[in-house]
Amino acid sequence: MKAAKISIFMSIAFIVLAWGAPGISFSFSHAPEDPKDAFLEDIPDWQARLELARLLSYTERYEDSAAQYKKLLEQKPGLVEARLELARVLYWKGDMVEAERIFSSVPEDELSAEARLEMADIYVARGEYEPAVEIYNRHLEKYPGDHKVRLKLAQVLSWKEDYEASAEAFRTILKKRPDDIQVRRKYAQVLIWSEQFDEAIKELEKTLTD
Amino acid sequence: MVSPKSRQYLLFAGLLCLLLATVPWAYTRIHQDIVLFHKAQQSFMANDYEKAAKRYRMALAKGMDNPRLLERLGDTHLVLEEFEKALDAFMKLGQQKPEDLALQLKLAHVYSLNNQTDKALAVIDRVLEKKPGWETALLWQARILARQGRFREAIDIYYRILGEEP
Repeated sequence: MKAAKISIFMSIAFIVLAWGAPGISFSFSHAPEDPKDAFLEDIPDWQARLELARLLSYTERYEDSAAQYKKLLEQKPGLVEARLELARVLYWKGDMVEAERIFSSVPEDELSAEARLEMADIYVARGEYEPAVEIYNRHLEKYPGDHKVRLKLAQVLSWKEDYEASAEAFRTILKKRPDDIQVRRKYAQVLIWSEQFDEAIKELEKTLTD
Repeated sequence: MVSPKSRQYLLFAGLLCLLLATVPWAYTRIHQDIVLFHKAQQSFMANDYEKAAKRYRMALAKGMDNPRLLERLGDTHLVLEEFEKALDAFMKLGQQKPEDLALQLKLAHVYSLNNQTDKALAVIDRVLEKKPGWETALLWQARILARQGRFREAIDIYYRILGEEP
């Protein structure tokens, strides 16, 4: 009788151990899923083509670059980043009509943050500052530390003659990067345009070592 | 008054509770490396890479010998842009898995990020010697060349991958 009780106890204990032992649960039920390793995956043709199209545009082979983007979009028509990049290449190439057509077919709400900035740059190139400022501002709400974009914003604001807002953006950058001479000189330029000559002189003096 | 039968059941219940409480504790004491690895994986998946790196290193220090651990440690340092540490992990792993060509590509990538382009390209050349024409390796070769500003060479390789004439 006693032996039976012990064996019942041992059986229950085994069940408890098997059910609850952390090692077992680590191994099976709760192990976080490991992400797939990108290095082990085959890289699709379209990815290689996109990279090629970009490189061709960097080397100013706009014709070839546009041809690659077009092939890519035949393969992947939903790739909005590629559509946007093609529009930019066509602008650089001087094919304004085609660039306009493609640019207007890009659905802004489907763009990634990076592509949205790209779109803002294209707006700037077209002299449409308002939508560019809007995109930069939205980006800076999310990433206030992105000084590169804030600098673009500051410059665009100055081009649309909103000197006060531009100077404010420059001051925000200079607070974080007081030793950036180029930014300070651009800031001084904005002060000159807004006829704040004394302030501009002070800022320019700060950029001169002697 | 508690009957002897009830006392016996109580005793069983008490022993079970004790087991439930002590087994997890004992497990985490005995297999600290596995527990740390598991926690590091959780941190990695939650994008808390600082914590993940610390825990992977602790698991390693506790004697865990698992290639997956070294790979994850390298990946974590890579995300944290600690390229020297990432290289260290991937090189140790490479000694354990010398035939893993994908790992060699990753090593080349980290060399490139660490501005050791010559070493990166040498690794890719070795990979291509073992597996000539491997498109993934060619693509990484093109990417590394492009990173170094050698656009023309990179472009030629991309055309080769796509089977087109430049």
